[in-house]
Amino acid sequence: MNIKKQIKKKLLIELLISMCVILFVYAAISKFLDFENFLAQIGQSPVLSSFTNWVAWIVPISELIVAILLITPSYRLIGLLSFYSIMVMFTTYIVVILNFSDFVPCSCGGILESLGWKQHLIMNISFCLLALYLLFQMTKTTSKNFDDEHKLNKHIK
Amino acid sequence: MKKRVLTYFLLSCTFLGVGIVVLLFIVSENTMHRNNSFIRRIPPHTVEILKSLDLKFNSYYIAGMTDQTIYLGNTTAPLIITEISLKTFQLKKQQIVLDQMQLPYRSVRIEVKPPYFFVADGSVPILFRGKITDWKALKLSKDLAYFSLWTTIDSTSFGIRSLSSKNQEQVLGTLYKNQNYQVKLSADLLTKQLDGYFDMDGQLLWNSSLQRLVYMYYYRNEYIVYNSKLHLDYSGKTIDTIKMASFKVANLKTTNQKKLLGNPTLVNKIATTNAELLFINSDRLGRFEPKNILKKASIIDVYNLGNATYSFSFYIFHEKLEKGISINSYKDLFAMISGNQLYIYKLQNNYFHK
Repeated sequence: MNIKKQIKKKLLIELLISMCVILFVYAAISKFLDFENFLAQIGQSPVLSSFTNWVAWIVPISELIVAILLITPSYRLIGLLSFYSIMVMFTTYIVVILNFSDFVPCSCGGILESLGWKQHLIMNISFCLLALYLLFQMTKTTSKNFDDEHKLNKHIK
Repeated sequence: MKKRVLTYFLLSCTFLGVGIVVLLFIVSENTMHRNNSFIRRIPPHTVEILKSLDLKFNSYYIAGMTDQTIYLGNTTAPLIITEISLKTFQLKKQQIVLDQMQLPYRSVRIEVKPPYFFVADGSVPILFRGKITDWKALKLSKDLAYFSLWTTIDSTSFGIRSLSSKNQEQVLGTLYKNQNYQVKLSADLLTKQLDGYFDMDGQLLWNSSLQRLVYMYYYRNEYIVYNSKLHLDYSGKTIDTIKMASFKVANLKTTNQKKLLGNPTLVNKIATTNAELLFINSDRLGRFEPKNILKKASIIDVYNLGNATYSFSFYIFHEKLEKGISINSYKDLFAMISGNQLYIYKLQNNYFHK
């Protein structure tokens, strides 16, 4: 019974992590596929326009790197932490744009185009919360495993 | 990893993430507004087309504008005024009558500022004023100073651009009534970069809400703001990166003429001003702007004269490839003549009148 529950939980975590991976891979690839357009959009952004060339490369590349970290089990923790940081940055970006900039530019490309800025903000915040949940779950399981191992070692001694 | 450690990690990640973006925003705001890295910002839906009218000729210019009527002058029929009603968009032609018709007129231009209209030719030089109720103009001043540009300040004073008698360089000044009409010139307003004639060329405007004259240079990224006493307030930068006019001028000694060699880069083409804003039509492309945009649109850059900053830009889309001739703006309206076509746009209040 307990094992079944654990397996279920493990599956859920895997599913949620793959959601994060899919989000970032999709975001990165759609940026690269229409890179010129993406450049123009970043150029329009009131927050990023002066760093357009840098940002336009750094954002999709780091998205890909984070996706790779997330699918590699031993780097998953770092992956989740960076995923969380990036999502926090994106969220801050939207908050800044909506509240402090001179104007609100057109939104992202791809499927996300149909999202308004408000919905986008809600989506980002949910992904932030998701990352937080995953991180705490992972530390729980890892520390538990650690404790178990510890006990096991004691037994052996 | 312990929960506490993770919480610390997460907190620092959060602060770092928020911090980086806020920092980027602050730096970006600074470079966009002050250091002019020449990237246009083009927010969506700042203007909305109201009407596009075919004028049939490409010799019209906008002589004046109110919220009910647009007044067009015509360079090939200099004393015809065409009124366009902003309700019906019907054209109505009016013939202007001057009290001195027999003079060697060469560059007559009209400015309409209801209830008055003004007609001037700086090559005569002469200036008339009349009322738009009967379109009859009487002479205000004659033979005071030759001027190459003029703009109406009020019913008895005008901003002018003339040539210095000392060194034949362009100077700005005013022509105003003080019992009699008189002219005041100042050589300190315009700065010389090359020959003192072509490189100082530009457009002269009067901004009534700030009560300031504005002179926009054609060949450098600069405009100056000064008052009718000819005291300079400041010189503002446009978003372009060309600081120095660059072309060669030949002095033709045989004919005593100055001639421009080659095509100088025209940084700012046409300007108009409304409220605290300065509108500049420019054909220079910023970074990340599609190359073919100039074939189908005119770019209008908007500057705030109150704090000398660049605000944003918008496009006026053409029906075909046309050359912009004249722009004007009144309250929440913006008009542009491009080729044969007159475009009337509505400015969205939340962007233009904050």
